[in-house]
Amino acid sequence: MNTLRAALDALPDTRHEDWRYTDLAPLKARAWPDSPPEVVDVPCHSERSEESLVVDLGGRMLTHRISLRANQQATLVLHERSGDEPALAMHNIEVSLADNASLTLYRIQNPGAATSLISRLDAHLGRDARFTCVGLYAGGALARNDLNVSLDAPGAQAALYGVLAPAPGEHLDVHTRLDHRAPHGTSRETFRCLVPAKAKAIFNGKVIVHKDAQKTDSEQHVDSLLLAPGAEINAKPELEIYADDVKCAHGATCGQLDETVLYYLRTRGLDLDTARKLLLHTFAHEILKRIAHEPARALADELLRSRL
Amino acid sequence: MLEIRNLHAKVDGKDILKGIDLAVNAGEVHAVMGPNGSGKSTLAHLLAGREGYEVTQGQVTYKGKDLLALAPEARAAEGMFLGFQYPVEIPGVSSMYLLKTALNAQRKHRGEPEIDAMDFLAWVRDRLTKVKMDIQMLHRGVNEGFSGGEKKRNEVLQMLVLQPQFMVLDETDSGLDIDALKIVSEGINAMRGPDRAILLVTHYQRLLDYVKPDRVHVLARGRIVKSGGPELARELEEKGYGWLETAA
Repeated sequence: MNTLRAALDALPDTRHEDWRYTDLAPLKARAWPDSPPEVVDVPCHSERSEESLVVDLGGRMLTHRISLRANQQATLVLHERSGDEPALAMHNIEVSLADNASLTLYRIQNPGAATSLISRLDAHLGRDARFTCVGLYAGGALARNDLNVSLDAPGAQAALYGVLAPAPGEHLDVHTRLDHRAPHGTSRETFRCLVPAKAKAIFNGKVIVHKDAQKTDSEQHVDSLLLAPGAEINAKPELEIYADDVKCAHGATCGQLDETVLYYLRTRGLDLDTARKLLLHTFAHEILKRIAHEPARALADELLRSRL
Repeated sequence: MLEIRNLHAKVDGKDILKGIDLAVNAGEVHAVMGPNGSGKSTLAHLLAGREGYEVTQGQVTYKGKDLLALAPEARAAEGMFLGFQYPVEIPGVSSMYLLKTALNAQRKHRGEPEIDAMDFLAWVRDRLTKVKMDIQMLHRGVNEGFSGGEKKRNEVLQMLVLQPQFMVLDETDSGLDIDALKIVSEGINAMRGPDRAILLVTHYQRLLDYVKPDRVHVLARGRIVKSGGPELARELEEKGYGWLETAA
């Protein structure tokens, strides 16, 4: 069985295009306590289930499996966190949705500032299955997230939304890959990044429309705000289309807070700090308001505010 | 209340204001008129505290304080209000939230307690009727999707809610049809009072039919080239600005 150490060593180096900005060499060079793999099946028994899990990631190699039967509906809240001491963690989420099943996943990912996290989600969607994932990714010493969704059968719908909000000096990486493998699939993807001083964020959004995936409807947007000199964002939308009757759009923006809007707010009496926080919160809240689970949204909001 | 003395200012290294002298007493309404590019908006934004202006000479005293030394938010708390010529859109921040946050920020600065939520709502509702706006508009993002006229009415609403003492209204009348102009004028007139003063920055005489100024000043090429009573505005309307430009 693959242990934490073996799994780390098996990951590619920066010569691999998808890992170009994620240099694991310093992590691999360190001695980490090894851990055996752990697999947790998330129970989803009823027709409509709702589950909230607080997951301590530190030092673990953990896999969550979520499997929904046909027509099942589930909401899962994952609060992913770790302690303050230096730690390595690997986390896999395996999602399998049978025909017409629906999973809404809310992720609040808040590893400790000294935790390095490699996190990977793989989802397979059956016919007319619906998968929505809304996440707040709050960084870590180094946090690498891969979100891979495969729309395997006709009519599948995938929606990935996320806010990237690392703390100053942190490295946060989100790579998404949406594989449209069957006709009439729909995918929506919106990410927003807030990058403070000396932090580095990477968003790589790949959409692949395979040759049989006619009538695919796909949209992807990533908007980034650089909050201080020395902040870095690498945003790359990628679109590969092998079918000829599809609708695909993508866009990326990058900028700073609008000085005129800040000034306007100040003339109304808000001090600069309050005005800045209001605008940054609003920027991210456009994503996080999609969290329909009240306690999860409150938790995400609290974490977001601590980052502003 | 406000005294501007020999004010010179540069924007991007270029001289825009070249020696403005202007005194506005409490209870008065002054109009500053002038052709495009004469420095009207620069003067308005200088008073509100926009960054990027270099004051090279002169001073501005407001209620006995050095206005130019205050941050924009401190000026707001001291009762200074700028009605923007081009109000900004802030999607995602509702007008209601902005009004409440702004009012409480100003109250806090003045050492007053936060306003009670129910009192605030009643206060806003009452003022909404004055500018003929529906409360639903306040639940939308600030000016989001508003027409030009709606944005100007929203500026006036903010003024009515915040109750400033010194109001600089930068072309609040431009781009308005006659009905909206009347609504906006009524809002401005409602703010006239013995403890307050208003500086109307305008390109057109039309507004001054509805808001009667005590004094009219003509700004051209960064200087006030002529001051007079309300009749000066009529004269400008008839003759245009050309004769003053040559006089200057």
